[in-house]
Amino acid sequence: MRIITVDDSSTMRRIIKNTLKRIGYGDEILEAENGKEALDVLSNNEVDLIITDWNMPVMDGLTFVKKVRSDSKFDDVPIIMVTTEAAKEDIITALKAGVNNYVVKPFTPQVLKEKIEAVMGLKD
Amino acid sequence: MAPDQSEIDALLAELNKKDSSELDSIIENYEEKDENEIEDKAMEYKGDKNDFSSEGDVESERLRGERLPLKEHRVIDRLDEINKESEEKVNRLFEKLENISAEVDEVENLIENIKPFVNKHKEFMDFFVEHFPKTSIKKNYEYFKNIVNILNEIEGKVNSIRDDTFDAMDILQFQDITRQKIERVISVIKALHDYLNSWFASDYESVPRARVAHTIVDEGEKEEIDEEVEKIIKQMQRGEIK
Ligand SMILES: [Mg+2]
Repeated sequence: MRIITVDDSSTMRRIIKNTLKRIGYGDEILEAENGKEALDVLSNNEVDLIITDWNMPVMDGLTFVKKVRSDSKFDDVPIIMVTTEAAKEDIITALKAGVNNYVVKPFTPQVLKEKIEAVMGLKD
Repeated sequence: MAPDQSEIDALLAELNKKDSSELDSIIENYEEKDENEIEDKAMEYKGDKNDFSSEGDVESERLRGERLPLKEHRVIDRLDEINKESEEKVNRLFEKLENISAEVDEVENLIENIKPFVNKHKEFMDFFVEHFPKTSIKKNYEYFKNIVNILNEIEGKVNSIRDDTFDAMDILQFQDITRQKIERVISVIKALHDYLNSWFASDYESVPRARVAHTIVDEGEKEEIDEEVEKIIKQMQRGEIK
């Protein structure tokens, strides 16, 4: 499974990458620092899952999700948003924009695993 | 020490004795002297700005706004640097934890490699001791059983080191959260800066910044928040939120 992790924090990208390896999704992980960079990566690579932060410079996660969803090439790629934003309105805004699942930082590997299983349809 | 009442009374009596013109000249003299002193000081400062006799001079200039703060005192730059520095250090820390985790994996592999031999040997000894209870290797057998126990114990320790290493890695998420808290403070300072700048019509070189976090969850409420998120997602999926 090929996954892209989008986050402006290099620490977070490292942690997410390491967590994915630990929970068995570490085969192929691509990285981007913001939404714009992620769109560039996506223009050359197909992915099975997008894990994105919200608060990033240049292009934030919400704009990125909207762009992804408006492109027929990626409109069915599962997206999980991993962010500090925990207000109900924000969660709803993200879900309406096309996010499939939502994780509030700091997360545990167990929670990320469950969310991945849920969006990939791997859960019963 | 404060003067006592008798001294104050004596001073007042002295003043009352002098006529008003005398008093005026005292005051005039005093003012003149004071102004001259101030002018002298100002001339000293206007001398060579780069030639400071003491650090106190630099500091007093800075406080009077004659000198701009040094780069390392500019608040936003400083906070950005602190963020960058802590991110670098946390990444190095993470690297170390990854190394520990890789070494722990190696130790586990080594144990896995020798375990089959040890187990085979124990099976053999079990058999031997069972069939030849009076054998002289009985004592060796006890030692050997101990080695197996120790090996199992080492395996347990290896697993707990791995768990602790992983827990430490998870905790390092604090860096991003703290960084966003500092970004919030920066946004306030920046807003003040922009407001003041709009009065002086100066340019502001803006670094592209992330949107400032609306909420940063307190550790104590995390579990509750996770449940809330799950609830909202379910409601959304059932079409209950329009
Ligand atoms: Mg961010």
